[in-house]
Amino acid sequence: MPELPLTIAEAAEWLRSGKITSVALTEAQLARAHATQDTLAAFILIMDEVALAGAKQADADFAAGIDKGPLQGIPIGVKDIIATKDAPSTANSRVLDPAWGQRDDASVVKKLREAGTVIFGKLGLHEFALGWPDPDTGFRIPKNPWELTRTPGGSSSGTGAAVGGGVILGGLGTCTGGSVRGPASYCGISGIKQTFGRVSKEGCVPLGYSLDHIGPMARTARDCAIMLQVMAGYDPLDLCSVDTPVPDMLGLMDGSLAGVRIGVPRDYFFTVPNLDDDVKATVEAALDAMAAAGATLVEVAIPHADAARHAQRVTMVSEAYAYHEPDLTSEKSALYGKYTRQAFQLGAFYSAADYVNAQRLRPLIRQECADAFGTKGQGGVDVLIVPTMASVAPTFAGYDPDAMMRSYGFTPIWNLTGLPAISIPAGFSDGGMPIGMQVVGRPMDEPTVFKVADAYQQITDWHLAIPPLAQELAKEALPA
Amino acid sequence: MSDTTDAAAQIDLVLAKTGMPVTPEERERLIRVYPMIAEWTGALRLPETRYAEPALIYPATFDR
Repeated sequence: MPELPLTIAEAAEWLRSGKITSVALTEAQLARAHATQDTLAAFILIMDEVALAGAKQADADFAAGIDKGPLQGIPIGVKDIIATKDAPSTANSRVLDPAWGQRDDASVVKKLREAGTVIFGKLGLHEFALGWPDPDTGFRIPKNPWELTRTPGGSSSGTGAAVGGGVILGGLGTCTGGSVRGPASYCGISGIKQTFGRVSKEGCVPLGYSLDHIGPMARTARDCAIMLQVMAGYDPLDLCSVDTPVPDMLGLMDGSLAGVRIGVPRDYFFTVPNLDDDVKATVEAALDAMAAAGATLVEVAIPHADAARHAQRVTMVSEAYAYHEPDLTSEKSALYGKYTRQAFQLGAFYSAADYVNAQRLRPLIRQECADAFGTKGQGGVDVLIVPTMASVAPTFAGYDPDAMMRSYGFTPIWNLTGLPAISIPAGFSDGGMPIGMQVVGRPMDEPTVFKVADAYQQITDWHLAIPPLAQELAKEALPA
Repeated sequence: MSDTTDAAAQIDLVLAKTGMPVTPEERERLIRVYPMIAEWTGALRLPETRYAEPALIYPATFDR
């Protein structure tokens, strides 16, 4: 019996060569999803009937000579804060009115379906894409496939767990301060937060209106590019959507780092006190490998990177508080998980001037980033590279949300500036947990981000490492 | 007044204004983290941004 494909690109080839059908692929992945719900707990809802119907349609289209592109017949999970017409949406919360989800697909889901994607299930998350899992809310808590006592990260915890655990090949996450890249780093997969406005966020429960993104998560940068190609594009239903042409996301992928100029902002990103030695050494080793493959490393600086962290948090929590205020100030307040409620409560303590000052800081940080990138072809750099998270995935035990708030982060600044940033696996800690690094690009220059990330994945195989749990799954759930 | 008393007064003022219900445990936490909030918001007030325009744009159009 054949094994299952490891990546979307591979599955797309298998589907076209007749090595596998979409129904067989979907059935095998459904079996994996059900088999791991008591351990990984990645899903809030596994949509068996919808998925199989989608798979049958995809196979019928192939048989009729209809090919809608590389996502046709590929099962994809959707974070359960994004609306789907054939399943409820919960945002992992007892607070969200069920009526909110009784609507058509979110714009991005609509695009995926039009491309022949098999919508597979609704993935778990941190409540309202913030907070920390709270067993009292009645939802399962997704686990890290590399070690079940550890978090897969958040808030796209279910997507990280499901893709990292080999249950599905790709899924949607959302990201307001690192919720795609954090789980990608902790679970040993790839995940991109593209340029703000590149992908519509219509149909997603907001967290921070001016920071929110819906982004793809998959094993490889190439798979993320395949997904983003379909997801991207102007949407008049999203006030933040940018009306600009969508480039060929895979167009610059040539597997080469020769001539690539990489900016390395060592101050802050490689020097903050909570940065684990393992993480620092791993990302430095990745930079060395890229230099050995022909890239040039250039020291750059973003002087107010730490202030950016504060501006992102004030912006996110203020915008979230505005959305949640009616529920936080009513009897529904008791229905939030305690960590979520506590996180949102802080929004009441920021003033209007605090919020506007955070917005006044954004152009300063943007200019510092522009200076760091410089001018292409005139001594400027193509991308920046920094660690994704300061440590490997922490254990559930001993979680201290206030300590978490105090710690330095490397992902929020790219939400604040809106720059595209992908997290890709860069190695493992001494304890065997995945470590990720971010490749950050110029505005709307996702193709260069993908080129560099893909080229790194051509010279390394960190992204192909499979956790033991997924190796067991591969033995148990093979297609008929 | 001590810093803790100041923080408690500020917390109670905001809670009264918003009508946001909190448990005693949550009120204690808010008092504990209030200095951190003040530190963060203080960090947003930079000489470099004294005359900066905020990143707030409203498109004056009927199209969206």
